[in-house]
Amino acid sequence: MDHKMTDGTNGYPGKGYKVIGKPVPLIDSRAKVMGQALYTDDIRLHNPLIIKILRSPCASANILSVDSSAALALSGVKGVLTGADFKNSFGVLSISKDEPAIARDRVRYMGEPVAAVAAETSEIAARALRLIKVDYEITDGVFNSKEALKPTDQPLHPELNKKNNLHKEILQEFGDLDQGFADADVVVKKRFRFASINHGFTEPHATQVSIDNNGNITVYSATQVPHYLHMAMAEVLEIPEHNIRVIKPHLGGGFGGKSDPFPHEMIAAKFALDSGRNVKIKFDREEVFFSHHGRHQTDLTMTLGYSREKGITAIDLDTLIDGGAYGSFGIVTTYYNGVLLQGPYKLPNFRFHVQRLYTNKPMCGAMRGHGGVNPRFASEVLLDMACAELGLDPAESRLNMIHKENTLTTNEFRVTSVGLHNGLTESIKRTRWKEKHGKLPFGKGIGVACGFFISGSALPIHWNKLPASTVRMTIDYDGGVTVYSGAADIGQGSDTMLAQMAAEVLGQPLENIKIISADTRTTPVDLGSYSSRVTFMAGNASRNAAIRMRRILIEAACELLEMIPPKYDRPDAPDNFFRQGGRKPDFEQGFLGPNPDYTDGFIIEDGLIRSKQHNASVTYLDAVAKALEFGGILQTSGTYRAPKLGGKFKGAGAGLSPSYSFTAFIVEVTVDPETGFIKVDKATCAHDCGFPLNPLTVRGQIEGCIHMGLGQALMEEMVYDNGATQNPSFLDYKIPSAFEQPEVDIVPAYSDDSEGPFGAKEAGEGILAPVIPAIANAVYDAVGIRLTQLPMRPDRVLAALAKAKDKEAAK
Amino acid sequence: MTALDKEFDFARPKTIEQLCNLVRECQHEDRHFIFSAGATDIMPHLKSEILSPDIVISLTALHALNTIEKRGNHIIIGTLTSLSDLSKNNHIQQHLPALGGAAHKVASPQIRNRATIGGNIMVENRCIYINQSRLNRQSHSPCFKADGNICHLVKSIKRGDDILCQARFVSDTAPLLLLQGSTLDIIGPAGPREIKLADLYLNDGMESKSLMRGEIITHIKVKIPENSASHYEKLTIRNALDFPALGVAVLRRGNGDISVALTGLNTRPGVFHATRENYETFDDMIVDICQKASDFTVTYQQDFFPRGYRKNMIPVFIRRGINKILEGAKS
Repeated sequence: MDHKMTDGTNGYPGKGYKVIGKPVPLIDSRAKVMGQALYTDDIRLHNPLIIKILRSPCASANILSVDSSAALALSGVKGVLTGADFKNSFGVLSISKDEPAIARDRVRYMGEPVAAVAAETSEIAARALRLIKVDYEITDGVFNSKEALKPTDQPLHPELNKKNNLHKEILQEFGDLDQGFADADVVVKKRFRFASINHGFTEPHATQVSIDNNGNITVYSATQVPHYLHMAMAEVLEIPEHNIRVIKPHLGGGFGGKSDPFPHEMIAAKFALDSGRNVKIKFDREEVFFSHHGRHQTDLTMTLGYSREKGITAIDLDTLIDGGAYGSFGIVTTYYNGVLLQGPYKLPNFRFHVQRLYTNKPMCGAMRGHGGVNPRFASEVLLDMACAELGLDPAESRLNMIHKENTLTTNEFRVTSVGLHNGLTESIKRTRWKEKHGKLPFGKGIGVACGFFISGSALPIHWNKLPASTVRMTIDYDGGVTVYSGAADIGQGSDTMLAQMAAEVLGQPLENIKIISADTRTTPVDLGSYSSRVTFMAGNASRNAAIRMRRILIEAACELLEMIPPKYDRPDAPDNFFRQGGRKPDFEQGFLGPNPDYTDGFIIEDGLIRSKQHNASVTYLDAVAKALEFGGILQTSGTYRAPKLGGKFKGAGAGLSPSYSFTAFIVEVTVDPETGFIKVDKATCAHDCGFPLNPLTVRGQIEGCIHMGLGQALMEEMVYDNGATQNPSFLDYKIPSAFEQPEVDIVPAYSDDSEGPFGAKEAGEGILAPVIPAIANAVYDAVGIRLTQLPMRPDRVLAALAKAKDKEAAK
Repeated sequence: MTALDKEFDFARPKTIEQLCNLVRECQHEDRHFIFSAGATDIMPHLKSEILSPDIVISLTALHALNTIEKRGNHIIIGTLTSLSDLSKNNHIQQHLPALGGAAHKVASPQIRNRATIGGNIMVENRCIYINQSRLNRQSHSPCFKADGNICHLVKSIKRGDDILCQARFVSDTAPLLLLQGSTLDIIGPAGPREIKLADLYLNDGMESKSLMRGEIITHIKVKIPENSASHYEKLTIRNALDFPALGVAVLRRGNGDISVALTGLNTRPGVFHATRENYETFDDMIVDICQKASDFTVTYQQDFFPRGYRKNMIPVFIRRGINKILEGAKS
């Protein structure tokens, strides 16, 4: 496999930065490679009880009784919990708190917790589980979306007072759909079907809880969002938040699958509180699949109108998403299925109707590219069809429709920076697209698709007026800088990013910056690692804290140099609405303009603070000592708060983000017409993440998204048989191996975002969605078939080829 | 499924004699014993409690069985030879390169370093309904192999002569060994015996091997092929990790005869022969053997790939195997 290494800074003008914009290995990579990094399960608490969960073998049943007397009588068993021990249900969204920690009265999916045991050893706990007698009365289950729409007297969630299993329905319309289709030169329509897929993160869920003499608990958990877990736990356990401290240790991948509070976390904390003992629980892989929270199984029909002159004139989307047994992030998913189609192209007329259904299957939730991935597949395939019907080049046609910088979309998303046009243009050149598309021999194909994603949700999940992210920064007497942030590094490298921000602004080498993160006792609130928000929001917060710190140091230096400190002029008023959203973000008052430099006439480097103008300097350490004279500690805070955005209509908040990322993929494939196998030979990616703060991690995200996209495109699928998970293992659930990974070429597509930290935007999620339709479009170019069902299994390819052949013969 | 919840005894006899004594002892005391070699297949079976033995008898201390020798016109493969050692062995690379290639297609490097050739030809038949955790098996009524009275694949409620357990045979190495006419040295409490590899495999997914309780295979004897070439092609969605959804071994003899062996489709491997002189053209022969092989019963879908697809791939893979052999002959 030939991986061409580019450093990712290629093609982007150097800005004279010392730390950012350079490929930097993650600050914890050495610890991880050496096996020294402690993941949740690695932490050694004193003498913990081991927890195991008894799970339901039935997908739909009433629980008539749970008899745990024999288990409790077993020597070494310290406690058994059942549904009756938890009064409050929970859920990540305050509008759908529908999940109990342990099933009460009824079970809604196979694998749902029905009891839990805490015992001195794992073996005793396992033995005790077998002694718990649960009497189930099996009830009729609902196993797909269509069934779930039918009227019933026995819905999964009677508390919603509905006569069916509809969880959430959204219908939004913008512009004039009829006019849009009337304006089109061609209208294409297809039905699409998508399997549910799992995140497949490496580290299974794990939680440990330690407890002190006063009943305060410290929860170590593999979570993407310590803050929401903290809140949910306080509510479920009915204890004050200050009695709970949540710490996220090193984390082995999340992809959205660890962004909900989980039953096992509640169970562990409850056992610790009840027993006064430290406790520990970890999942095996099967339990991860039962917990799931993966991408929704989706059935959708999309109609797309396309005009030679105007580009896309209208999209009409009707979608059923199968949510499984509980709400999770489902309401957000329901919105995202529609609103994320607002980019990367102009879309003047637009309607979507999305319904999320409850079924007796493991729940679905947020997964990388949240809600946007499946409709993106449909729209990019339909766009390819429209271009084919009109005899247009699908890559060139896309170029003409991309949003311009600083525009509003039809549903009033504020689009600021857009680097896609350059990126796609360059990709067309680099791949020699025009020599290949439509011209390769049968079996070889090239395809294009683009994508668009939020760079952080502008609105919090639980409404509050706090900044979206706050960072505390201190400098010690020896000059060491510590950054305190609630942001959760889940392997994506956010700790490194936070350190880069501080190092760049303070003129320090990266080694001088220490990070303390994701600990609800010691770090200020950050809403967590979801919606690709951390670089944008926590990054800005860290940068702003560092800028405040820099100002203190410069003032101290000036005092030592007997100079007048620089005058920090207020910047000009925002030159237009779109660059600042009508309101300044909470940058230091009067200091920062739109994406400004922190120019103060000084250079901090090599341990010196030097005035450029006067060619005089003091040492960094002397300035630190001087600054410490005032207050004894040197501390600043920085925040990020999204500007006020969005329209005035109902549901206008969904998909609002201070900025959006853009992606283009050109994929080359070989299709074997005898076996139906699709081999992805090469993926060329142009991702506009604004300014790449760390090209090495951007590359990692691109390679990872390609691999994950490959899985959904070609093989991954949760298989259920009347609600029972048929493939809950990495043997039977097929994630691509390293052999399937194609050659990757990364094309610069950078922009300079007016509000992102140093111009940066997200690089973690948006990349994923367009990989998949690019493969499908390349398959069309190779063998002339349109695949509308994921995964694009070889047997489906052969069936489509046979159908195409029959059609040809009938002509 | 990460932990072994049920306890069992463990023994590791150093000689065949000790082994036979231990087996006799177990049989006398009516203790349920199983053998393990590399344990790569046994461990998941133990964790999921598909097997719940009183004692696991490890064969790994029988070092004499970890050899590959050339004796006259035979290669003698000790059954404890790991699949990676097999692939790298000079005798194998020289005389049975396709077998080395097939062994290399098993699972992953880590598993091949532990898994043995004996274990691979003895690998337990698999089914999506039985190869699950205890909890997941509980979500269905117990099937034949779980001592129940239903097969969820054929939806039949009675096990009998017509309807046996449908668990699939999945060895990657057996097809080529079958085509080479291999024989097995067997030892057990009742003494040594020799059988043809073809006679090892039975039609029932539950009792899929003809070894008697307490017997182990010590050596596989393969006649060094003269003037023939073979190839193994495997159908999996990934190029690593997976059991074969279909495996096709093709052997072409110097006189032009073709033999084909199939794995992954049925409760046992299928073997087909075509004699060149019975056909007018080479192509006629290929068409005929593809037809015969395609008529081989494919059990109900139990894999990533649907049944019909796997069946359709049989002739495709046979032709590919033959082409590879012919290409090899040219170069």
